[in-house]
Amino acid sequence: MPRAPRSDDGDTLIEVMIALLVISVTTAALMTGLATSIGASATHRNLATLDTVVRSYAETIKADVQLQAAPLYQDCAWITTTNVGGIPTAQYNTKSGGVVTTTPLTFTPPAGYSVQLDFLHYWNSTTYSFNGDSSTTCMSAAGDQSGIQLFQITATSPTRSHESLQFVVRVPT
Amino acid sequence: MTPRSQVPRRSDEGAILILALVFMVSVGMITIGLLSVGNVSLFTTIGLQSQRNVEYGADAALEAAIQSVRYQAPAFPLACQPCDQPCVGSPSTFPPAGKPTFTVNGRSFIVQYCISIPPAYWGRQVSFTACEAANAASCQSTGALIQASVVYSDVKAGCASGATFGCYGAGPWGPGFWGTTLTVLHWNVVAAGA
Repeated sequence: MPRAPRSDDGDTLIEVMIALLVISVTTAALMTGLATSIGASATHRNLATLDTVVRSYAETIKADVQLQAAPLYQDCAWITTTNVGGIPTAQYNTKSGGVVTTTPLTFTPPAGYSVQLDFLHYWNSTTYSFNGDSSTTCMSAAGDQSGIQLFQITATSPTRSHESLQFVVRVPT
Repeated sequence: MTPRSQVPRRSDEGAILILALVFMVSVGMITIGLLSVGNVSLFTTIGLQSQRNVEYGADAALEAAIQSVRYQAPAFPLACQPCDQPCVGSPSTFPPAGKPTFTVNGRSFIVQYCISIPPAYWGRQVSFTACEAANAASCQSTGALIQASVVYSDVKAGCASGATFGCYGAGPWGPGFWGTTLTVLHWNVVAAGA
């Protein structure tokens, strides 16, 4: 028995137009979603790198301060900045017997990233607080000789986002 | 029974629209899935940063407590025993009551500690537990962030033993020699917090 002929009815213009519109909107949404995902991934990578830079710089400072040449560790210290190879580099200064000892806190962050040492405060064991004094007057108040120093560092990424971290260094002996 | 050839064929009209809708839903779900994965990853990183601040803050409080206890004469008789174990009595607290809170990275921390004197040892063994100030009540259990055990020597430098007159501690035996050296026995990060 012969089969019935297939219908010759095509899609209407309206159908095709609606389908094209739906596909266009979907494609646009997909592209936007992918772009957002790529942007989020870049932000994620940026934050992760920034976190690593902050941690690395903190540990570098801890090691430099605790392993500095004699006098090993003074309870009052202050920071200065110098240029090493055109890069601003923090210096850790202590004074003992009128002699100032300077230790460069050398750290090379990844390209595009930068670090800075914001402040150094030392612990006052009488007031139970960190002295904000960053002068060169060491052990000027009772209780200053506590062996605890508070540092704050900030790392900045190429996209200008930044992170700060505070940490403490204790006298190593 | 109707012959198979006589069954009317279903119309194909509108099929392309249905296909487009299916395509849209599929792509939409894939896009949402991708974005969700990216967002979870991003939030995880941000959470890790918060944990880093807690970790360094607890570390700072513990270091400050170790150094603070170092030069302090212990209050005899000691109430907190035994050695190298979480406090079972009433632990002492750093900072002590009435002093400013210890705040680092925007968070406040306390350290609870108990002191014991090992047998035949001229010094102190101190167990420290750092936690956030808000978790002080559970500091010895679920609120603990870092636990450490430290041994201080209270023997005057140059003395072979604290048994020698004038070589140990303070009070009637001579001037203060508390904490001439310290040794960290162990340092255990219990939880990083959030």
